[in-house]
This record gives sequence, C-alpha cells and structure tokens, in this order.
Amino acid sequence: MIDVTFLLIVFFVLVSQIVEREHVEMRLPELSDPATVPLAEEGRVVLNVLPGEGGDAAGLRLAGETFAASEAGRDALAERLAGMLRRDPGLDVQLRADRATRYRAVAPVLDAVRRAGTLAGVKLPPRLNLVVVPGEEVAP
Amino acid sequence: MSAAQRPSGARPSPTALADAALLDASRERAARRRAQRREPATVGVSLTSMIDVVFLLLVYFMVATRFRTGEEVYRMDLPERAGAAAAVDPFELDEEPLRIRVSSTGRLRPAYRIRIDGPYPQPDTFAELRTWLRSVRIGGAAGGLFPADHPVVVDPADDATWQLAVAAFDAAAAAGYERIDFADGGGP
Repeated sequence: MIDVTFLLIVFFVLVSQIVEREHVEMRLPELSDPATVPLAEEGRVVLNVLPGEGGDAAGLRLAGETFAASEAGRDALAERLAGMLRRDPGLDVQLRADRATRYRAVAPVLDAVRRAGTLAGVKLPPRLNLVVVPGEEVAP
Repeated sequence: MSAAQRPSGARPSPTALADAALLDASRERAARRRAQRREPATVGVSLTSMIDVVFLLLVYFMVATRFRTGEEVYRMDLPERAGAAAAVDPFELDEEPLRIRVSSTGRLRPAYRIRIDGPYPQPDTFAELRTWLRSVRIGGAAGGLFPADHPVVVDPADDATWQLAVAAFDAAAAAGYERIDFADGGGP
C-alpha cells in the first residue's frame, strides 16, 4: 500500500512538470470583467513569449520547442506553425505573453503567426487567441 | 541464593544480615536492568497514522495542482478576417478603421495614455474607452456612428506594455465590435 502511495505521489509530481513545460511561468495581463471565453483544451497549440530583461522577449516557445526572439527565430516559428496549420487549419493558437513585455517585442510574433497562415496556404488567417486572467482594473 | 544463607549452621550477626540484605537488593536491581536491556525496544510510532498523513499530503498536492492550471482560464478571440492576402490591407477596401492608440507614460500615475484618431472625446481610462465605444456603436446607448463590424485597429506604441495592448483590445471587444485587429508593423 505504501508503494502505491509513493507511485501516486511520483505520478502527480510528473504531471505538474508536464503542465509547466507547456505553460511558461509569467504574469499574464489581468483584466477586470473581460470579454473572454474559457480556454479550449483540445485542438490548440500554446505559443509562449518568454519574458526577458527590460520588457523584451527572451525567446519564443511553441508546443515545447524553443525559438530565438530574432528574425531567423520567428521565421523558423512561422515554418513550424505552418506545418501544424496544414494538418489542422482550424487550429487554435493561444498567445501567452507577460504583461510587462513591450509591444515592440510581441508585434513581430503576431506578424509571424499571420505569415504562418500564408505559408500553410489556409484560406482564413489562423485563429489567434490572447490568454489573460480576470482580475483587477488596470490603474490609469 | 541469599548471601545471608550459608551452608554452615552459624547464625549471622545483625550487621552482617543488614549488609547481606542490601547486597541482595542491589543484585536484584542489576538483574532487572540486564533483563530489560536484553529485550528489544518496541516501536512507539504506529504506522497507520503515518499513512494517513501521507494521504493528506497527496490530496493537498492534487488540489494544488488543479488550481494552477485553472487560473489562466480566459482567452480573447481575434475574429476571423474575411481572407485577405497579406499584401492587400483589408481595411483600405471598405472603411477607414477606428484607430485607438495606447502608450505608456514613463510615470506611475497616469501609467498609460489613450488617444483615438479623429474628432472624438479622448478617454482617460480603459473603462471610459469601453463606455464611449459602446455608446457610439449602432445598437448601443446613444448616437450610433459605427456598426458592430466596423474595423477597429489597436495601435500600441512600441514601448507600450502588452497589458495595455490587451486592455485596449478588451475594451473594444467588450463594447461589441467584431473586427478588431492590432496594427501591422512594430519594429523588429
């Protein structure tokens, strides 16, 4: 019985590790009373903009694979995402970026996602969702 | 065999008797101590309570893990644009989009600045922005300048934080607009 218990503990530790790999630790934007819908669990891919120094992006992580936050890195990301879109044109791309990241670091990523849609030859642009947490109002 | 008992028939003196009694008592105590040491020590902690504690910890971590994935629960859907090629800007085809600019001021209060392109009242907060957008939407409270599918472009400054960009997007989405996009561009 103790062996079973330890097995369960090890299982849950491992599960939490897998969750961490997909969801990078960061502080998502917090909005009060947002016009949002619950996250889909299936048919989606999570795109993390890794938070770096001074509000820049330290890198990009798509479905467990890390890319550099540079022109070449974004091209590689677009290629990878295009491959996924070819297989599933209705794929949900969930963008997670830290609330303190500057827009200049996120805008090229949005462009890369649009480019991926063009590369994949899908008719509609990829469905891009912005992940936030509900919470307090942003103070002016 | 008591020290006082002797094979000889001689009767021991009273002092000798007392000494012998003391000696007997100490010998008996030593014997008892030895007997106790020879026995193995019993396990004082019962195993059942330890298993209960382990299960409690297990249940705690199960609950704690669920909470973490449950936190980021909401998403904001960028509406699907009617398939435009990358070169053609879809907004130029029909109407001039309503452009909302957001920027970070360097200071603590106010931390951000919202500017709407056009002869409109400038909001101070995102709540005011949402209220105004809702009021000018056809079907909204007053006026009715823009239909719900009027294109809205959120144009954050390069140094505006992602929080501000998303908050502006949310203000437009909550006001009921269906075609909201981020401005193209933003330097590498």
